[in-house]
Amino acid sequence: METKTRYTIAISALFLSLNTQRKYHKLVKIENSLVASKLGILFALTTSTYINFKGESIELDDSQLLALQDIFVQHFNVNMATEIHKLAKITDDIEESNLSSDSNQGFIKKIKGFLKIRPKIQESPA
Amino acid sequence: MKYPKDNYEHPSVTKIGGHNIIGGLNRVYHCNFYNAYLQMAVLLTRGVGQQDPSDLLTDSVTPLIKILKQNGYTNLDLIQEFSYCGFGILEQLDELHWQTPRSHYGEVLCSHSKPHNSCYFTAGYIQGIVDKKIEEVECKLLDTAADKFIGYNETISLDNYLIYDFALQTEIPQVFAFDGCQEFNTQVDEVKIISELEKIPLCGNYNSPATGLIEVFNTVLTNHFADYYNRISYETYFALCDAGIPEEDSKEMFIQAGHVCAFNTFGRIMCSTEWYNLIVPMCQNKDDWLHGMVAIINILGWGVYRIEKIEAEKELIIRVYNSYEGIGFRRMYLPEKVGNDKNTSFLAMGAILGLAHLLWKIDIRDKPELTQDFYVKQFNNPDNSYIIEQTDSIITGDNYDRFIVSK
Repeated sequence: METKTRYTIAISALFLSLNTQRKYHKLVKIENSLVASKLGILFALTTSTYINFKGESIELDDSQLLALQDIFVQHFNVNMATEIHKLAKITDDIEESNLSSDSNQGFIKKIKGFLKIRPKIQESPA
Repeated sequence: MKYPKDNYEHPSVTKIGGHNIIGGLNRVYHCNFYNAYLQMAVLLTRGVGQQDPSDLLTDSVTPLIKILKQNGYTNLDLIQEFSYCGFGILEQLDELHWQTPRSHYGEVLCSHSKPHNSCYFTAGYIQGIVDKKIEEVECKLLDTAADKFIGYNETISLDNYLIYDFALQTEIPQVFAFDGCQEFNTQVDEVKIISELEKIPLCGNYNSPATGLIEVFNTVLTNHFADYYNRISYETYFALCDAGIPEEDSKEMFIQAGHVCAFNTFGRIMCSTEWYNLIVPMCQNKDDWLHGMVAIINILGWGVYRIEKIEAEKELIIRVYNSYEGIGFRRMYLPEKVGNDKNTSFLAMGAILGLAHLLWKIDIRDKPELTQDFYVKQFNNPDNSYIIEQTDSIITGDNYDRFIVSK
């Protein structure tokens, strides 16, 4: 069965690297919460997979790494290819059949949002 | 021919229910930081479904210009009002070519991506004047001498998106005069503040050299179309939701825009000479600074803001009657579009949260330098942040919008 190599990237290191690159190119720093929101949206629109960039780390495959690199060029005006390859650690070789979008979710929310979200109350059946 | 002309007669502004109506359309003051951020948020949706965000940013103003023409505006009126509202100086070079040697969108925008042609609004404005497709071909953000636009012999027909009648609320309580309002002890006099501020000309600069820009409070403002903001914001929000982006992330992009606006516009106003001359003498404490800033918000065309409660450093509750987002939404869409979701007046949410942050998270009275670096490291740092919740919404049928800022 076909396997895909998965990589883990620590979010804090990724964002630090982004702003280091932006600073090197004399671009303004972008706050982590905004980077996380933008990446979440852009990544979902580009790959049709939602990944939560507000957690501690993300897991990506090769094609998703390329998509992430392209997003940084297009929307953050920096080439992060070298940095991403330095930060990406091979997680595991896992069977493709085990991959699901859920595997990208469930990270601890470290980045606090603005919005007070009320817990959704599940209606009980009549 | 150069505009604005010295003898240009300013348009008549009808102030009603917290709205500033010019030519039948509500106008709202916003700064370049907000305009830049909002445009960036809209452009994120490039490639989503059928929607092209460039077209949305361009075409959303064209029907509004058509409404102005239906209300009696001539092309000359529109060209002059472009400058009056702070968009810059609009010049027609020949039948198909236009330029803006000075412009809000071509000079003072900022973005995280590579600089690119950014005068979508201006292109759409010209489309409304000539009824033809217009495209920007040069932009000052790319170091050209002027933003340049070319017209095509392609007539465009864009439908009016203000398709529902929705009247402004007329019964708006006076300051602190409503059930549920805390008893405040303040010397801040909103009537006096508004009266004094109305003497400051918040319109494009006509003095030589004319810029057509509104440069006040160390920021650059536009007197923009409320319906334009509403159209581009909500269409983008719905496109993000349709694309499967979690609601919280989609909303946060727009709430953040309001937060950026509060930092830059409110923050700079609260450090300005005008603020220190007029408002600070009325202030004893941070609560008074909140009352003072809310008085100023009430000249911006955003609706009528009324403070309901202040518990220092803990809780701020504000009602907004005739919020421009709520009213604008109801004129574009049916309430069912958002179900029972109350958290939908994004600009107001971000702005009110930012107002609390200016006093309770940082202390704007210390006159910090309001740089991007300060915004990232201090103002928008997660530590000691507050959160916001909208409990009432005109969009879902309530009489006003109501917001609670808390820890």
